[in-house]
Amino acid sequence: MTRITRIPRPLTALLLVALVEALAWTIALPPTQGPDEISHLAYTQRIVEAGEIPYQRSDPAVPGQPYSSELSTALTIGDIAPLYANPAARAPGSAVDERIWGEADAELAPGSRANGGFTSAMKNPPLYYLYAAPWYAAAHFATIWDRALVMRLANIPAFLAIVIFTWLLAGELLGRSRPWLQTLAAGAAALQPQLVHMTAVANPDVFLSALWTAALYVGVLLVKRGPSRGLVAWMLGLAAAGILTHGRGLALAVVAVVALALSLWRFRRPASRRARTLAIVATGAAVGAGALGLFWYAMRGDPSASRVREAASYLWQFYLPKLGFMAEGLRSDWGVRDVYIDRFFGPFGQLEVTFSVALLDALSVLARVFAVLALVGAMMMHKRLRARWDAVLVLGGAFVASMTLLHVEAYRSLSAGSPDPILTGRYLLPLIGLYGVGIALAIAWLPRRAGVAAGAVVLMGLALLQMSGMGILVERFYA
Amino acid sequence: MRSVSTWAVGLVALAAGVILFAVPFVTREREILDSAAQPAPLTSTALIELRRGGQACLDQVTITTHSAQARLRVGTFGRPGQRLRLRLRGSGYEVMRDVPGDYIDNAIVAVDLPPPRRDAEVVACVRNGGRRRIALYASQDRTKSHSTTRIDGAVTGPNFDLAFYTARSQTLMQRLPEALRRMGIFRPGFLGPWLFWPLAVLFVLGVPLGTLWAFAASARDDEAQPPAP
Repeated sequence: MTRITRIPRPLTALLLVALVEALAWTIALPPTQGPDEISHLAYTQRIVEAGEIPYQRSDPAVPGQPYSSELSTALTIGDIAPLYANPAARAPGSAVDERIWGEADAELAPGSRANGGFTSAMKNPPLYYLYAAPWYAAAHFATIWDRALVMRLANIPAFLAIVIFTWLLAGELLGRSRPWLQTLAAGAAALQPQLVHMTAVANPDVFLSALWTAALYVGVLLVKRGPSRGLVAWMLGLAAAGILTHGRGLALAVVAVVALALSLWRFRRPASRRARTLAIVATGAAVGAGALGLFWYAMRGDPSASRVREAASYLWQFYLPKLGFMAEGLRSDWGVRDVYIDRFFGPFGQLEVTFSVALLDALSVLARVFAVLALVGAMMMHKRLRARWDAVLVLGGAFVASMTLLHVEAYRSLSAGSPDPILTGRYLLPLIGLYGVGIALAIAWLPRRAGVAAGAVVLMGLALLQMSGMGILVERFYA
Repeated sequence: MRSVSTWAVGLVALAAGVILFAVPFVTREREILDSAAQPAPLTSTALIELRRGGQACLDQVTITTHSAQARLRVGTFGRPGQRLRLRLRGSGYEVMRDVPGDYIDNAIVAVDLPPPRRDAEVVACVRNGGRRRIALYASQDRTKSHSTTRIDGAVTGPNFDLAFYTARSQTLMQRLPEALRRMGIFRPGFLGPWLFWPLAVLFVLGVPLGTLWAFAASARDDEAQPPAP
């Protein structure tokens, strides 16, 4: 890896910007109002207070009360639960509310922190919660509110890591000789409102996204510089950490395999033709076996023609309009716009804090424009990209692997009769590095003067979007 | 592009966005929901029926120094409205208001109140002063607050909906000091407006300007580099 001698001043400034954003959102978002935040808090509380890792792959027969008595008291007496997704409620706003809760909390019996049962978060592997546990424990003497706040702060290093690795990734792909493109890419990530919102929530999403962004960078280094011991260890470590953090980290194994295979092919290619053929056949067989296994899993063990048609129809209608001969798709009301725009840039809190439809429409149009511009950029830079085809393959593979696994899980859920489409915008945050690089790529091909001017406009637009997110959050909870 | 031009382009874009979008948003007057002792439910509406002379009381209600109007929704079973009496009584605060029966079925009834000098915990009671029964809209789903409702002294399941509004509409800018104060609730004691004000200023000015500084600096660094071979 590159030896870091000094942090470039623009990156330092972006990190300070990111820090201010994260602190502001952490304070403005009332306690436990993030998506599933209470469940993630309960997981960490069980680890610290009960001294056990409550991970289990399926729902228990007897789940018990989900939250500890302490958490339940905070939710009910603190009037936090009535606030969830309810625009008719406001965040508790008086020291009187604190006193009423404090009196109830003081009456709790010993052990009331450790008597929580099962919550849905406990199906997640434990790495993020083990990371958050020392933060929680550091505030062990304080109230449940303070511990919840400290758990949010634990996300800030992960957020800063995302900004750093997006910067580095852009440098590797677009050239370190053009630092303004690195600033554009990293700035776009730092200003992404959903990413900052999730940083302010005790939840593994940002931790996982940091692992992903780091893994994408290491993957690119692997194919550019070869499989040194250090890079291989980092790649395997990040993939393992992703898998131990969340189911959505599984696709990191694919990224690691692709990056390592391409790196070996480029730098340690077998000398004999026979060995090369064998390597190609073995790789093809492994890919085929993996694809077949995934297909079998997606079909829930029943690969009948009707099910294959149903899955294909679901996938088509997620991205494209229904064709005349197609039956109505599973949750055909939930498509690419919902995931890639509406739920990627917002909403906040318990999903009730949303940007206006007009703004989301504008973002949808701009996203399409930028996708086209990025394609133009890719074509204009085709010589550079062709020389780096393996890096492109690693990043493309990461996108395809991540989205494939998400669609497979979504299809399995929907085909089993669940109304939950599973796939939502914040699940794209692990690919935030690609989002930043994509925005930079869309600008990179312009003449330098025009590119810099466009970059300044784009970043200010994103800064305004960031501030708009904060504006609607404050309006929702305090006005 | 020279750094000065980068700043100029960025600042013009930022100023345009602020003037077109941010200023109208923060200066638009809006009704301010100060607090909701019992917010309206999300999934199912319950009713608390009060016969002639009946009284429902909601305990552990927080009323703040900004609360100047109480609102509750009242059903009259298709009949004319009935007279009501709203009474709030607690530590250092007591007020009683009679509400004429000139409201329609299922209307939100708004009752002006003098804001307390200090935030107070009160019991809020509604008495049916008319001759016919009425129903207070209530909540019994997960939005039910920690308060307890008693009808003529007997505990009942749902809580009647009760919200407090400020005396007049405010802009978000006008509400900001109170919003920042409230962000300190359920936070460590040492956190409060002394920190939140500088953080708010840093957020509003530092985020766009810090980003623009970073971008302009990197564009300048780029300019300083020798051209690629």
